[in-house]
Formats: sequence, structure tokens, C-alpha cells
Amino acid sequence: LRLDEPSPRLSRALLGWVLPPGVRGESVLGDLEEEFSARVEEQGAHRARRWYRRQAWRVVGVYALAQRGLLARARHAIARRPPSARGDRPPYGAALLAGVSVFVLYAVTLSRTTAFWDTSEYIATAHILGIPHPPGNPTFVALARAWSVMLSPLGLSVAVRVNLLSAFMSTGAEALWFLVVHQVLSRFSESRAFRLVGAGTAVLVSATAFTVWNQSDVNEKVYTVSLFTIALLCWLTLRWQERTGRGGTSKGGESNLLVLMAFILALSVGNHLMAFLVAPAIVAFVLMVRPRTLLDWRLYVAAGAAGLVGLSIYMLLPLRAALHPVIDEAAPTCRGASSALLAIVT
Amino acid sequence: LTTRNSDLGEFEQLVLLAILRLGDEAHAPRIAQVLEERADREMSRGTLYGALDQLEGKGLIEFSVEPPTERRGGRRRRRFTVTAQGMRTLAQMRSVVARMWEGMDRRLGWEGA
Repeated sequence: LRLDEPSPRLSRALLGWVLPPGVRGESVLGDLEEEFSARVEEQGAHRARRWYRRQAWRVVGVYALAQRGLLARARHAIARRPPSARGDRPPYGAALLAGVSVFVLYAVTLSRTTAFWDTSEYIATAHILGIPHPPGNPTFVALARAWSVMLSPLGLSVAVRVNLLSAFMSTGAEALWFLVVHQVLSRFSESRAFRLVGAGTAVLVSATAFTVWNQSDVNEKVYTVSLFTIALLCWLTLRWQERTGRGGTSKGGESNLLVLMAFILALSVGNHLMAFLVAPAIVAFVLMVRPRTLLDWRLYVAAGAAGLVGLSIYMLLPLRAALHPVIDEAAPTCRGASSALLAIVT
Repeated sequence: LTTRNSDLGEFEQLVLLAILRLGDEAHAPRIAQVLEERADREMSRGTLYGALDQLEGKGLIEFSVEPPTERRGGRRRRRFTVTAQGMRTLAQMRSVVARMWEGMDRRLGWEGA
């Protein structure tokens, strides 16, 4: 018989996570521990552990339900209009400073040439407006080609130019994250210093995360553009919230932002489907903040039209393939305009 | 059975009575033990702690904190007592139940049973 038999670790950890802080939670853990020890002596470790697990789950169930109040408060915090809606200007200057700092970091550590995996393929297709492997990523190719042309007077190599696009996209994302985090924190604290330090810390952590830094230094693929798109959509969602409830004149403005977001989402599909992951979150946010917005049929018409315009970037694939670029992977072709449109939408 | 003023459920009454019965020993494990022995029901600790929190929220019980012990993994313990409001509510409940039972033994043929 082991009197120092430890109670089940996972159940104990779960309790520690769910129970309220302070003496309330502490005493419940202590009570269960005390009873567990007594049961080890009376019934043996196996039965005592089974009892502990069963009771722990019951306690967790009760306290998790009690935390519905916490969830309701969190929902209230999200749905509440942020202070910037009352006239405080977002800290664009600080966000710009954070972005510039990140760009300097990426520029200093930037790859001077190509690297492993898909880097060469995407740098080359960006340069010649070619077609990389499926799904072809037409938004990325068009964007990177335009970027490469714009930087051509600088005399940089093609690889450095396209790598700089990755760095720039991540930089833009980080500046937007700064604004997003600052505004989210403003729902919890009036302290400007707290919000700025919080946003700066978030940027520092996210910009130097291994994968983000790595992808920002060498254009391996399309992911930094996706990162920028997600950050932009998050920021636009918060801007949309700011515009709600400013009286009748703002109604058009609200819908315009949602239509713009539908366009960006559709366009981002031409880059990578990753950015589309943010769509359910946006819908959930709109439902929490102003559900009646989703009852406006005109929004769906306008968003649908904007979405079709965004998806039309896919027309680049058959059009460009017909000109036989050097890199033309999967050689996308369509019998005609109608079949091309059908392929894009479906 | 609940009263209109306090919304006191049957299980909460049992918990209050267990606390009164235990006096200085009214810690959650002992309360659970008394309920299991006297009320002949297996006691879920989740249900018990939920009821204790509710009773405290209604102002019917309060607790004092006792120092930690090694057997409890160095954690403090709460000892519960019934407040004056809790006593009044229990008395009211007993009175209501007693009035409702008046004459019922004869009606149900339980006299002398």
C-alpha cells in the first residue's frame, strides 16, 4: 500500500484549469486530494484513482458550465464598440514604426538568392508571369510580377526583388496586427501604454516566429501574401464594427466595407485558400456585433458581384497558358470563356 | 420543493441540514459523507460544490478558511456555516412542509403505520 499515491495527474490538471482562482478552487482540489488519500487507504489505489477521475470530471462539468458567464462577458467585450469608435484615432504612427522595424529586420536577414523547396519555381514564374504548379496562384504571380517590375530600376537581382515582396507583405501584416491587437486590448484597458506595449509585444513575437521569419526572408511560396490578407481582413472587420451604430448615414459605409472584404477574400483565393479560413470568423463576428446586417439582401448581391470580380483573376491562367510561357505547369486550358468561368466559380 | 423568496431546492435544503448537523466539522468531504449516509444517495462532488456555491451566492451559508495540511497537498480548507438568513429560510421551509402535511396521514391511510 502506498500512502503517497499521487492523484491522477491529467484530472488534477484539468481541475486546476477549470476551477476558480483563490481559496474556492484551492479548497476543492484539497478536498478531493484528502478524500483520495482516505480512499487509497480504505479501497486501494486503483479504486481511489477511478473515484478521483469520476468526481473530477463531474466537478469540471459543473464549473465549466458556470463559466458560461465568462463566455457571455467575453462576447459582450467583443460586441462592445471600441474606444476608437468614440473618436480616438488608431495609432497609425506607432503601427508604421513597428512595421518599419520589422522590415529592417527582414531586409538585414534577407536571402540574396533562391533557396530550397518551391522558391526557385515561384521566383521564376513571378519574373516571367508563368504558371507554377496547381492551383497556379494567379494573384501571387500577377502581384509578384508587378512588384518585380516596379523594383527593376534598383538594379537588384530578380530573387532579391521577389524575396523583398515576401518581406514587405509580412511587414504589412505585422503593422496591421499592431492595429488589431491595440484595438482588441482597448476593450479591456483604458491605459494607452498598456495597449501600445501589448501590440508591440504581439508584433515582436509574431514577426520573429520561426516560420514567419523564414518565409519573409525568402519567397518560398505564397504564404506571406496570405498572412497580409488575413491581417487586412481582420483589421477591416474591426473598422466595420467601428462604423456600425453611427446613425443612418453610416449604413452605406458599413456595407461597403463588407463588400470590399468579399472582394479581397475572393481575390485571395487566387493566391491561396489559406486566407479563406478567416471567412467563418468574420461571419461569426458580424453575427455577434450586428446580426441584422446579414439580413440585407443587397449586401449579398453586391458581395456576390465583388466576389466574382475577385475570382476573375483566375482568367489569367488560361489566357497566359495560351501564350505558352516557359513555365506552364499543368497547362491550364479551357474550351471557351463560358467553361473558363464555370471552372473558376466551381 | 422551492420557496418563492429564496428559490431553495430540495437538495440545497439537504445540504443546509447537513451543515447544521456537522457543526464545526462542516467541510465538503464530510458534508458529502453525511448526505450519502443519511439521504441514501451517491453524492457527485460536482453537484455538491455547485450547490455550495449557489447557497453562498444566496447568502444562506458562509465559510471560514482553515490552514493547509499535508494530507490536502498543502491546500487550504473551507468550513461552512449556515447564516442567519439560511436559518430563517430553513425554518420557513419546515413550516411550509409541515402545513402541507397536516392531515395527510389520515387521508393517505398512513395513521399508525
